[in-house]
Formats: sequence, structure tokens, C-alpha cells
Amino acid sequence: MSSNEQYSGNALLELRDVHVAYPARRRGGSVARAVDGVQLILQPGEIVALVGESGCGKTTLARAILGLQQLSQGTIQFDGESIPTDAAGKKLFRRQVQIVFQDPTASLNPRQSVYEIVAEGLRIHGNSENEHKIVSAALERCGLHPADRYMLRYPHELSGGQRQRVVIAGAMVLEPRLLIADEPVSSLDASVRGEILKLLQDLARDKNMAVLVVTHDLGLPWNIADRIAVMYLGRIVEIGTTEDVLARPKHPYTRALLSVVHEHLQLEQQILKGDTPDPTSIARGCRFNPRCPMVQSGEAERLGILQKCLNDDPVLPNKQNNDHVAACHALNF
Amino acid sequence: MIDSPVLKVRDLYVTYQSSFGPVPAVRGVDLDIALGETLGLAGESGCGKSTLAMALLRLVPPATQISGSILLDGQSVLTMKPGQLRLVRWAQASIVFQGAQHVLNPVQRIGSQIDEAIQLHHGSTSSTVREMLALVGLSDGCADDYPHELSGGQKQRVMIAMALSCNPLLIIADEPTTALDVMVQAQILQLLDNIKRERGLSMLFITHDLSVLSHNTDRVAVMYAGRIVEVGPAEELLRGSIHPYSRALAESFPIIGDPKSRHQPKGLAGDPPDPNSLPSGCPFHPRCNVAIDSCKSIDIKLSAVTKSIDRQVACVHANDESRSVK
Repeated sequence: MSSNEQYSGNALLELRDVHVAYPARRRGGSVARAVDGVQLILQPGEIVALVGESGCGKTTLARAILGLQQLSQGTIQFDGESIPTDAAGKKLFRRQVQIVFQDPTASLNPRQSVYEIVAEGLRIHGNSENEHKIVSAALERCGLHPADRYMLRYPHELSGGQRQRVVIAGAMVLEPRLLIADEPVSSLDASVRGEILKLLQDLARDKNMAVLVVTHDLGLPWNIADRIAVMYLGRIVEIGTTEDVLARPKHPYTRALLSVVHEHLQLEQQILKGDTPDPTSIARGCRFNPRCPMVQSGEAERLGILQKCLNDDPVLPNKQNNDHVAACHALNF
Repeated sequence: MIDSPVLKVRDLYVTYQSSFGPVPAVRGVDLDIALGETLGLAGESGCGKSTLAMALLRLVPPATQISGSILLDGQSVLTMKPGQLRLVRWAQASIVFQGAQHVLNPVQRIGSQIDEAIQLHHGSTSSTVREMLALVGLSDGCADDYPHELSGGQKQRVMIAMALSCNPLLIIADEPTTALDVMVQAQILQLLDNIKRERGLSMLFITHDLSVLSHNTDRVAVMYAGRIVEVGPAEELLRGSIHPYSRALAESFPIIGDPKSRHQPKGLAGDPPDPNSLPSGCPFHPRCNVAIDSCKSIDIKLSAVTKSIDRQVACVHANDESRSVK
């Protein structure tokens, strides 16, 4: 992939040609290319949704950004600098980048009170002045008011939605500049989801915090995201503003994904056959070609691009920040 | 009312016994499902929808109290002797459970698990494992596989094959696609839809995801705190809910492309009620944005709406001018 793309200067997070490969489980097995060449830019304060099926590498990518996963190739820059590898640098970095996981029950220590959970980050980062005041404000800000009523409770005494609010409050006390939310609402009840999404959106706006939301749900980006990146087998295959991508999808994968979501009414259903693809055996040529409706229906052949689909890996075109681009041969034959 | 429904439930109460005392999980539910009809049952976790499904085949813990009546093809499920009940399960009504990975026996081959149900009802069916696998789009080879060798979608197909193996009249599908990916979910929904049409099956489709109901069901019932709060034709109900709870539930699934929901996530304040300590009056009133004083004390019964014969709503505002049926 080309690395001479034009970006506006003050990006908060910049991923260039990021690869993460998991080694084979047994000798002679094949390497799983979970993330396979991703470019992504996040500006301060923007909400970007990373969308895809399970196994497409979206969680691995999130872990790589957090520095929890070693890259096999490529660079990730936060605020213009590489992610630090020394202990002191890591500590400072982690203060600025926080994560909210899918299942709040699993991410909270059942033996810690809400107060201890939220204050833990402050203590680790040696910011214990006004601790009570900061914790209290964070809980209130995350919709748990009056905060005093919740501080001494334990996770099992809270509902799922309240637990997720505690997780978010714990992330917010450190005033991060980037929040990574990995499926933040998919374990919550439908009626509670909207409230949590609204909280994330409001926090991003008030604190000028960038949010990368990892999700398989296309309704979520319509609700809160400024931009959306669609991931398929380790690669971003389409990216653009939420309106552009969801209203005028370019990549056949995005179109198929949208057509099976019942909240979308304009597309004819196009159900892809087979199971979620396998990152240990990525197809030659375009990685989507084994499931591509354009290849299967013969449309690719009519357009005269079939050979390209089968042999050439399409490249996501160079882009400015808000451009809507997709990696598909049919777009520039 | 439907003339001769496959399933007819009247005034069903299901009360669990717990160490905190009785827990009323289902509190007075009426349901009808006609031959070939699919009824969607929507609601959040803890609203009693799975309890209702289990109670239909008396698959609840022994100490649980069930009252009311359940007529399956005219036979009363609640008064049946155990032997007869065994014949009814699978052969008259079968359940596709959520989370196939936990339901299938991990140390038994797929083929023999499907065959088990067939053997138990030998008199009533002549289908073979091979036919059942073909019906759900799996190859013959799957019969020799163990559950861990199949993907999530394939396992769910096996569950459907088992549920169909004894030719039931009614399929109870309890969150059949919840743990699956969007694309696999679409495949399973399509499969269920085709089979339902080919065989003229009735179905009770239970889900927390309202958005899958509009395409796959004829009518939808919305459940809250153990009771049905709104029921009506699927499209009509999902586009123009009358009960404030069903409205809020519908709004939490945004329509992509609709400018009204862009950057406007909507949800309900508060949490679903604890069946152990339900609020007084209408159980929804603490979370309701149109509640009036009387809602705190009076629980409105599900009743027909004046504007539409097919709709029933349990809300004091059901017939207000402003909440018109769209």
C-alpha cells in the first residue's frame, strides 16, 4: 500500500500500513493475518465507527492501538509520536487512551466498590488530590446521580446499564484524549443502549475526546459516529462520513452488509453465502472475491474486471480526511 | 379473535419460587397463534418472554406455579399427563433455543443427536437425519461431526433440523439468531422463513431485537414486566407504536438514513423492573415520559384500540387523539 497519503497536520491518531499476524498454532499451520494493512486517521474530538463481522480483525486493531498487541509491520502514531515502549512512556500514554469493553460485568472487579473502581485510575496515575470530588463529578457526569448513593455499592448491586456507566466513569476520570469503545452497548438491553450512546456522544463533544467505536451494528454509527470504516478480513475496504457510506455504499461488501440490516429500507436483500471468512487463508486478488456478489453474478466479468478481481489486491485510494473511498476494482475500471 | 388457533393461551401466570419468595415472571398473558402465522414476541431481558416460551411446553422448574390455560391444537398442555406431554414436545411444538453451542451435546455426533428426537417419536415421523440436514442446507458429512467442528451458524441450523424432525405444528424460536453475526443471522432468518412457508408452520419468534421482527413476522406482541403491553400487525406496530414502551423500544433501533435519528440516540431512562419488586400501578410508570398521576395506582388492562381492530394496547393514553395509529 502507498504510504505517501496526504493528511491534514494535527491528527490525534495515525495508523500507517498496520499489520498484526498471529503465529500458527501448530507447526506447518498458517499464520492468521488478523490485521492486514490498515490506514486510519483520527482527528481530535471525532467519533469513528469501525464496523465488520466477527473475525474481521476489528478487536485486534483496537488492541494494537492500545499497545496491547505487537505490530508485525507498520506504525501507529499518537499525537505525532510512536506509541512508547518504555514503562514511563507507556504510563503517560495509557492515561490519554482509555478503553471501554463490551461486557461491563466482566470488566469490573466484583470485590471493589464503585468508588474504588472509579478512583483506581487516579491512584495509579498519582492524582489523589481532590479524589473524592473528581470521582463524584465523574459519576454524576455519567448519569449516576446522586453520586453518593452509588459510591459504596458493588457491581452486583447495579444493573447492566449502570455498570457500563461505572466503566465509562472510570475511563473518564483521567480525561483521556482518545476513548476506544469495543462493542460498548451490545451486551445491554435495547432500551438502555440509546442512553449509553448518548452519554458517549456528549462526552466526546464536551471534552473534545476522540472515540473509536468498534461494532458490528450499523445502526450505532448512524446514531453517533461522524465517520465509518468498514473492515473486511483485516483491511479497511470502505471509509467515509457516516452519511456517505450508509446512504451511498460503494463496496459490494458494505452494500451486502447494509442490505441485511432491517433498519435499512432502500436496498434489496443480498445475503452472502458461507461463514465468516478465515484470516489464515486470505484469497488471492481481492480478498472479498470468494463471496463477492459482483463476481458470482458475472457482473465483474461483464465489466471486464474479473481477472483483476482474481489476481490484483485492490488498494484503498489515497484520501483526504473526509473523502469517501472504497477498495474495489469495479469503482475504477 | 382467530377461529381455531394452533396455540391459544389464556390468562397465563408463571411464578417462580426463589429464596426471596415468589417471583411472578409472567402475569396474565393471552396469546393466539393461527395456523401458518408467525407471532413475534419482543421485550428486554427479564420481561418474561423466555419464561413464557418454556411454560408453553411446561419446561419450567418443578416448584414453579403455572395457572391459566394453554391449548395446543385444542389439547390442554397444563393438564396433560407426563406421557402425553412427551409426545407433544417435539411432535406438536418444538423449541429452537438460543445459544446452540450450549444446547448441543458436545460429545455426541450431530447425526445421532438429530436421530434421538426422531427415534423418540418413531410413530409420528418417517424423516431421516439426511433429509433433515438437507432441509437446513447442511451436507451429509455433518452427521458425523461433533458440535465443536461446526460454526455458530451451522450449529443453529442443526438446532432447526432437530426442531423440525418430528413435523411439529408450532415452532418456538427463542432468540434463534442472537449470538450470530449479521450475515449469518440473515441466512438463518431466511432459512426459517422458507421452511415456515413450505410447511405452513406456525411460529412464535422471541427476540429482544425489534428490527428483525418487521420482515419475519405477521403480528408482534411487546412484553414488559411479565405482561403484554401492545399487540398488533407487525408493520403497523413497528412504524406506529402506541404504547410508550414499545415506542421507545422501536426508537432504540434507528432507521438508517432517517435524519431524525442521526446523532440522536434515543433510549429510556431507568432500568427494566425487578420482577421481585414491581412498581405499583402500571409497572412502566417510573420510566414513562407521559405518565399521569393515576398510572401510579391503576394498572390498565390490555384492550382493543378504537381506531384499529387489530391493535390492543395497555395504556391510559391508548385512545388519545395525539397518539394516532399511523
